[in-house]
Amino acid sequence: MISMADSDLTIQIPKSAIDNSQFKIFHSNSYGGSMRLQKLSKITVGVVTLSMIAGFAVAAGAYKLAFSMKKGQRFIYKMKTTTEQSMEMMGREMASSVNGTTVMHLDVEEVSKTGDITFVYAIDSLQTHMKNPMMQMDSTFKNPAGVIGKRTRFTMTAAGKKISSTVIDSVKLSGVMAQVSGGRQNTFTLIELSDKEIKAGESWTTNKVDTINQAGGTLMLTSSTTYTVGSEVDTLGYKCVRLITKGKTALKGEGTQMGAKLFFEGEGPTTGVVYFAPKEGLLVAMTTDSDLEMTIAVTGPQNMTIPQTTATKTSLVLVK
Amino acid sequence: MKFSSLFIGITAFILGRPGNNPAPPREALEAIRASDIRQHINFLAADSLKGRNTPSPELDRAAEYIAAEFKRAGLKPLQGSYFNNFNLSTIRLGNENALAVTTGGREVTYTIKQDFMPFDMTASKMVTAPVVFAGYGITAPEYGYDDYADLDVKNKIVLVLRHEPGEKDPASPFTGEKETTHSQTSTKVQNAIDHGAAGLLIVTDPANHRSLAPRGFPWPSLFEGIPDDALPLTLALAEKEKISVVQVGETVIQQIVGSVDTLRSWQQEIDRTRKTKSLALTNVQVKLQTTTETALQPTRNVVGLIEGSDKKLKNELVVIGAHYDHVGYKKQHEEGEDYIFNGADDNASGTSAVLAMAQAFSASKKKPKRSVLLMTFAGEEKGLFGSRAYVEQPLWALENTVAMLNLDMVGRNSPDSVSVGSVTRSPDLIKINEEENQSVGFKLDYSIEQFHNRSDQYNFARKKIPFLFYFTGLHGDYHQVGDHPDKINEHKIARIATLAFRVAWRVANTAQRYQLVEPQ
Repeated sequence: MISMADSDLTIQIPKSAIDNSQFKIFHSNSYGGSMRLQKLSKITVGVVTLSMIAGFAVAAGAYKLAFSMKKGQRFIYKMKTTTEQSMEMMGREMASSVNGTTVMHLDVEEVSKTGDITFVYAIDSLQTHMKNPMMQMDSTFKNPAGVIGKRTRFTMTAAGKKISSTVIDSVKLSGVMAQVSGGRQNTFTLIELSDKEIKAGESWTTNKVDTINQAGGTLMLTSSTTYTVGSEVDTLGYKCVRLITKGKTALKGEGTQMGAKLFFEGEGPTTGVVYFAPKEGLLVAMTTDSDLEMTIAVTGPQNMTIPQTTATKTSLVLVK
Repeated sequence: MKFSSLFIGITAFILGRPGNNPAPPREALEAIRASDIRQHINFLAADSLKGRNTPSPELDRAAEYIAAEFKRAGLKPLQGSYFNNFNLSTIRLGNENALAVTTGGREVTYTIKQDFMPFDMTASKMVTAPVVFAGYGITAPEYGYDDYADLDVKNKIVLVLRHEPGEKDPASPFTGEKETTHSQTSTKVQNAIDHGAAGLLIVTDPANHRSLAPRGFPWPSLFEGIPDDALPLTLALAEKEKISVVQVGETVIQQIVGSVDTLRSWQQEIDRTRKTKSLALTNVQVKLQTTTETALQPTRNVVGLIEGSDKKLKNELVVIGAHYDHVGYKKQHEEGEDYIFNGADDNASGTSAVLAMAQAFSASKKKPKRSVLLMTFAGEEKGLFGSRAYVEQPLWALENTVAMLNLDMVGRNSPDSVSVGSVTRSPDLIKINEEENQSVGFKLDYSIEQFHNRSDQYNFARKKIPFLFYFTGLHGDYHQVGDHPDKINEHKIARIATLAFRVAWRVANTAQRYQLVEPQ
């Protein structure tokens, strides 16, 4: 019996490869794009949260951005993510989509004398809609047990550089959500602000390499993002500076699952806009589009090379 | 015994036979022995056969064993051989691949992977030709839609969109959001060939998809992290006409069409009106070259024939099949680890049932009226290749092939039940199976529609041949190293072989033709 439409091999593709937003994003639960080779594509949702507070200094149209928070502050953000994914196996194309809405909070625990910030974040609500016409799947999941309220502690510098991250409550999922999650605990991806005073039209670039243990192996995610300071705009009641972002993300790695060796290689562009309120030192909103063209290869009982295209659109706003 | 009693007894016996059909000979039924089945399974699923991967020396050993058993049972070779040879192939991208577009006297040369990507079904050819836009590249009379209507693409390069009209529209005449075969690249390629195109450029439809990256086929040679041995085997059919086929990206579209927005507006018009919008693109010349290198892998099904006894009906055929390959072994494993996928249930069980049925036909003093072909397929686990190779180049005319019985994974789970596929597709055969099962006593289950395209009956069904598919269900050892011979219930297999034999005997001893019903 050929394994074409059922579940004998599952490939977990890191969510961070799909939702490769270059912003300060923390994946409160980074659900991987899960691809059951035979049950075909089940993608995921990204439960991604984002929040930042920035201190600032303005001099003659120039900005010196730096993160700052006050102990005891709570911030609530709402994020919407739309992911469309298609892959081709054995001559058939399988398309699926995931729409997710997440509300999360961030509690500032500590701010050191040097400006390092420690906060705890957790998801308050989560709704995910998955659709796969080929598999006749059209399901909505709300507030999956094992995710809501699960906390992670995160410490970063005033410039947004990650210092540490600690899981306080393990994320535990079951059923489909567990299948698509890849069993990953929270991860956190930062943007690193320019350490120089910058003016409108000026740019800075950040480069990152993240190693992810997933799909029974190690995946390396590299990203490069250029931030360009744009004009000032009023957004959600805040006077914001627009940071235009443009970048590229690449993924490469391999793993082993059920006797099969898996290989991943892909890359794609990201673009977006961050709305930053310099006076309040607050990230107010952001949008990002990211595309990833990936090749998944399988060797072992069956050999396959599978092209996969993932397009993700994310928007985030400060609720409170 | 009084005559009247004898008469009543005989009448009752005759009428008691389902449909007043000939009973299978007792000596044939008695020849189906669990002990023989156990012996076959122990050989086919032994560690020494290393999981019977396609292709492998161990699969060859299995083939020799099956052929010897057919011969020993007195089955005849077909067309002089017990082997039905076919080729699988691995296709690699060749070195010479190029795309250049000339518009307004300006030639732009594009870069593979970045701007264009050949598909795996591409030809080793170079062509220079004008370009014609042919919408989605679909000819679908059943939906009243033809992108090639009144369009001359002979010796031209055709540009088509991926997918199909109304891809994301639940009300689309193309079965709503569920794609039809017209959406598949292979269908578009064949349609272009059928219309005489010299080459094919495929672009992601921009109204429904944001990324226009030229995905094509992910050739390992173009990705440093993708190993060459990930290339899948494909069925190498007799070389038909091929054309160069590539997916093109945004840069190429901008030059050929003018802009992505233009192409998007064309697509939106098609989707809105459900009418084709095909047109020749003036002053556009494309030079396209793709090359591939094919490594052939000789592979073989095993066949054995019981020649029919009826002068006329012997030209008609009943096929009884099972795949004999499995998925091999783990190349990387720890010392002492069980690393062999023995495939005792998948599908030494079905193969053993076929061998038992061969013995039954052989033992029968009376031969069936129709001919019967017992057949074991290679390459099933790689993509149903053996059965597909057979139906594409059959050894017996398909129009004279009246039924196919397939046995795949028939040795596990509940001893008293068996699943039978085709309840909606082959109602005539299902009825016969139910009638014959009265003598065997299985609890019959029909809820296996989701497995229809996962075993070899699928390829026969594609060719409109009625079928039955015997299956005893998945289990925790499915495609695992734990699919061992000691977990197989050979007595259950013997009963299933008996049931299938009874059905085959019925089918092979009538002139009736059966119906294959396409599900709505």
